[in-house]
Amino acid sequence: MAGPEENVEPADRVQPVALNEITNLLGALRTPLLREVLVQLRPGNPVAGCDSECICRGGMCGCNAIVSSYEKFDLVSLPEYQRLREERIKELREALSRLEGDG
Amino acid sequence: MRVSGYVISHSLPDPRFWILAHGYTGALDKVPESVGRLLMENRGKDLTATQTRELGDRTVEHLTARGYLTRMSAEAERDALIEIATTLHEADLADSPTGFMFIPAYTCNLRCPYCFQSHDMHAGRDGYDAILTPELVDRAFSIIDRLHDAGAAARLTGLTEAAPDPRPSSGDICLFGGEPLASGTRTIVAYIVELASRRGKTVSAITNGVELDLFFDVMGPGRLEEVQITLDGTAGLHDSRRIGPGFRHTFDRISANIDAALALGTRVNLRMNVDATNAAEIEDLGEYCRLRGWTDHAGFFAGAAVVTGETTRKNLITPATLTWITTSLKDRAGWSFAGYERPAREFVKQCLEGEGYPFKRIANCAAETGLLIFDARADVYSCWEDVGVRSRRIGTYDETGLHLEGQVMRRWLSRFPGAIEECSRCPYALIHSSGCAKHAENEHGTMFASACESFQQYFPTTLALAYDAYEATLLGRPIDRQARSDLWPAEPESSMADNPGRSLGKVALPWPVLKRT
Repeated sequence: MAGPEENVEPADRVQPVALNEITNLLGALRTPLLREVLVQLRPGNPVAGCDSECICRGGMCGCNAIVSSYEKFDLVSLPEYQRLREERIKELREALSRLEGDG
Repeated sequence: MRVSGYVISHSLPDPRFWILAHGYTGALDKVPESVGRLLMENRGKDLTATQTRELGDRTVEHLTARGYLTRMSAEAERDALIEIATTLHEADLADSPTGFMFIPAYTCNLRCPYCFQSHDMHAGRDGYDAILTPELVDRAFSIIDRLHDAGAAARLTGLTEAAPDPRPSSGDICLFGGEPLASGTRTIVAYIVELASRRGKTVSAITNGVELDLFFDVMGPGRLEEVQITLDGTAGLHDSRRIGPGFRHTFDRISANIDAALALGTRVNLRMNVDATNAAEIEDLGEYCRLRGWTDHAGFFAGAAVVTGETTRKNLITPATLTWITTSLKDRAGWSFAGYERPAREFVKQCLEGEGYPFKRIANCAAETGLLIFDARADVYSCWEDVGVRSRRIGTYDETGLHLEGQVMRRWLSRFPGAIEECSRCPYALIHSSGCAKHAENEHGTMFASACESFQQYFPTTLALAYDAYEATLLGRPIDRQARSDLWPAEPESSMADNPGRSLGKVALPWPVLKRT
């Protein structure tokens, strides 16, 4: 049985930083939800207003996986991509700054 | 508490930290060096009470929530990996459009010494002199019209019951050979481009580019829209490798054809086939691309790939060596041919900027979700490394349609990491997707085997480099080139080449060139 002192966190311990969020994958194993968790927003599924008529031919919105294989931004339209990226980068910067301060 | 068998980790250029990834939860974390090292040294093993205590409660809680520490047994984890892989595979089969290629001819105007195809084929001997006819193209397009929907190939082979996707499928039709763009194929290629264009499909070609000038009238957006062209070094070296009857010096004319293709709006994917004899030219050819103005062009992409040695076992280098060269050059010169670092770069980007689960697809190539390659002898293949070898065809085509032979295509569509024992236990299973089926078969006698091709050696390092570059951009800090270079191992676990004593010229490898065993 662990003694009380073993639950004490060292004050100077540097904590890991989660760089992304993960889906509830383990909870979905062996349930019909697994497919939903895994295959949402796949390349080839136009999202966020993409009509597949864009001049990027999938380079930004993922509507054409063959053409977009080099430098696609992601599976969202460019404006949405930029908004998501800004938000995520702000969170990431804050987390990394904390880590830098701890380290 | 066990360390998951699917932990991936590597030190970062800042030695205080490691990058940590999980091979099926898709987690990506930056952790203190002691944590990264502990997890890697104990991957798949139980942690002792002392080790758990030293991590501390908060860290254990964090690592458990992310999947790095688990109460699952090794077998339970493998079952989870198989279930995830199977779900992704089924989705791949259901929503991947069928891929289509044409082989206008097996003949070739070059005789490159390392080519995996035979030079008898390229000379047109033994029945390889056939050129695709308009009748055969018409028959192929009638099959394309029926099978281009997402999931059509899997439905044809009884591997999915998913309903056809009602959305229109555009897509690309690729030309391969022999040499698809030569004087003898001009008329039939123009016909293919015309029929594809009428259906809203574009055409691409894997070509040596020697006679590309004969095809300018069918090139440009919406027509022959992308070409993959090979230059194997600067003029002197290229002209010693890329030679053929009537074409002794091909470098200058290929360069002129690349200029013209870009001006016509056709994208150019420049390929360099690399072995020990030309690895030292990567930097010089990159500089040539820059001086020629190609690297400033939005439609230009350059990638290097190793010569895989189907016909020659000499002078080979591994993907790990090539990736070390390309990533080091990029750090030093700001630009380089892409090597095999793309999976790591895309994984980092998908984790940090993407939505949902980062592992989107599991098929290693189009052959595993449905690829029909129509040749000039009315045969159909699934893999371009098989074309022309009748014992490897998946079927034939005629005026009545496609005739598949037995279960061959079904076998292609059944390959995925969950179906391969060693892959289902591998932390890289959902990233490397078992590698090339053809290379696995060459090595192991069955496509239901892995084709690792040194992926385990270079992926963790490229992951650390890709993350470091991303973070440097994010925080506006410079990269530490020396620290990045030091991430590569002093000596990899296995051999790098089979030709001891060969120099890679001015490229100083971080490890010796060893003999293949």
